[in-house]
Amino acid sequence: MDNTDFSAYSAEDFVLDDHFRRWVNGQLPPEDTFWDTWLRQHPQKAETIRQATWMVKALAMEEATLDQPRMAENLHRIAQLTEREPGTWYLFSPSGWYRVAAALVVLAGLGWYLGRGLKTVVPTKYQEMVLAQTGPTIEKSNTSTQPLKVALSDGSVITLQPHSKISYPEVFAPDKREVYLSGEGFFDIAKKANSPFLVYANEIVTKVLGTSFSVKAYEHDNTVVVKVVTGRVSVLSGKVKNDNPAFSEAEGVILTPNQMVVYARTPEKLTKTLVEHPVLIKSSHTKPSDFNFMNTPLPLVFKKLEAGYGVTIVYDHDVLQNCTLMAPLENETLYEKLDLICKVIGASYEVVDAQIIISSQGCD
Amino acid sequence: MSTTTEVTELWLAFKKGDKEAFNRLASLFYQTLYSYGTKLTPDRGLVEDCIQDLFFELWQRRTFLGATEHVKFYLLKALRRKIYHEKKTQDKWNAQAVEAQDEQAFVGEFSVEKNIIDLETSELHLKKLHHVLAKLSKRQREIIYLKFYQEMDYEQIANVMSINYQSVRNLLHTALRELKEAWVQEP
Repeated sequence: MDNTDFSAYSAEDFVLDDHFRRWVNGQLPPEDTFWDTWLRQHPQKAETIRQATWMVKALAMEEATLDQPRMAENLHRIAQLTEREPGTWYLFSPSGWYRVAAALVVLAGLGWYLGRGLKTVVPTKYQEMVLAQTGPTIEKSNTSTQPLKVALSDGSVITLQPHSKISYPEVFAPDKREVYLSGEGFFDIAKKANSPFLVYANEIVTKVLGTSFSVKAYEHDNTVVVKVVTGRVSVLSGKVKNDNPAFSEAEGVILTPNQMVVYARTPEKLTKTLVEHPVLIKSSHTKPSDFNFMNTPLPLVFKKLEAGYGVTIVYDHDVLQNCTLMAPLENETLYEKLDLICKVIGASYEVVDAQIIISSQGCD
Repeated sequence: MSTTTEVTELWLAFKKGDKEAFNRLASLFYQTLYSYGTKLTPDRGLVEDCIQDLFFELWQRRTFLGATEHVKFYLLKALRRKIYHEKKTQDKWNAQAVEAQDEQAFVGEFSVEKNIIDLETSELHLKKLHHVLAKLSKRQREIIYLKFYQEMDYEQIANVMSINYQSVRNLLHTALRELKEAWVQEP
């Protein structure tokens, strides 16, 4: 910087100098007096400097800043992304615009590898299912410590975590794509009409309908959990039969965003409920500020919540139509919002079968 | 903002799966990304969503990412692509006029009055300035923003905006020349 001959600089040259602009904008540390000194030594350039200063100021732009609490909240959400790993969130496919990314994680069948002090390999669902396949199959096993990418012939890509394996036919059947998973995998599924993608893991079959979701099915856990992030998922539990894999959507439990299903293995029971932390559904294009209610009739408040979080709220329209809400609920979670609303109107709520049931005496 | 070396080290640590480093990168660059994002779309909620998606993808793909000394450049470019992609998807549904592919709508505005007021600018002068600034194209505004606010070099700007190096230079120099004339003509 000190070697540059600034005396030959035009106003534009000064404007284009990062250090000069920082001086104009008062962003230099107080000990950096370079420009003040230089200007004193080159009084003949005062006019040029004045002009350059004016130009820098003229090009100032409006700056949007996010308020601190909101930013902290967003950063917290980003930090949670790493905790949620292996990802339960929508994964954009970086290329191929017609690949609806279906991101899912399946944790299953840990028993097959020699963990937890087991000395012998115990036959598991995975092995039974793989053996029952007809025709040539491919098995990929990740014995390394790094995730392993497996590209399928249909364009789907599976990222296998260590100690995981996947088995699939050399050639997919024309009407369905079936894979068997043991361990943990991240699936980026190519959308293909009339050819559903099915993931078998323990007692659960998950049918991908162009969506993203996660499945947790640890061999030693008594529960299997499927959570949906976007789109729709159909889950079939219990007797998974190889001869009827492409089950119709209606046969399984259908999940939409923010819903999850918990499958208890013994005694066998399937419960549908809401996820612990419902998030705003991206496709709804709802902004947190949409929840700043100003004398809003309760039925409208509930409509906004239903749209934003993709939930169903059951309430008596006639009873609640005279209730209005005045509350800025921009930053609260869904459950906090419901708590506050119920407090204001003297109501209560419970979550039953993934629906929110409001009980209230109404407002007069 | 931390020094380049610190950021490069954070990046390497994050690639190895260091969550602390990842969170630190997020907080270091959040405001920068938000600033740029809000100049590419007026929909601030969309900007927040895109930043979150961006970091999620980074985390998911961390082992496949290259080492980079230009983390900020990398992030801003990725955000721009993402916002553009999202807007395109929305436009498909909205049946609105779709922006020309090569010119992403830059919505950043100059804040003339606030900054010029202390320079005793005359009424006439201010009018002239408004006129010059209003004439600047979206591309010129974006170049000015990336150069002046993000301190990128011509090559990086060309890369982010997918236009060639010479165009960046020419567009910026034309803008500055016109701006300078608004000053010179001051009576």
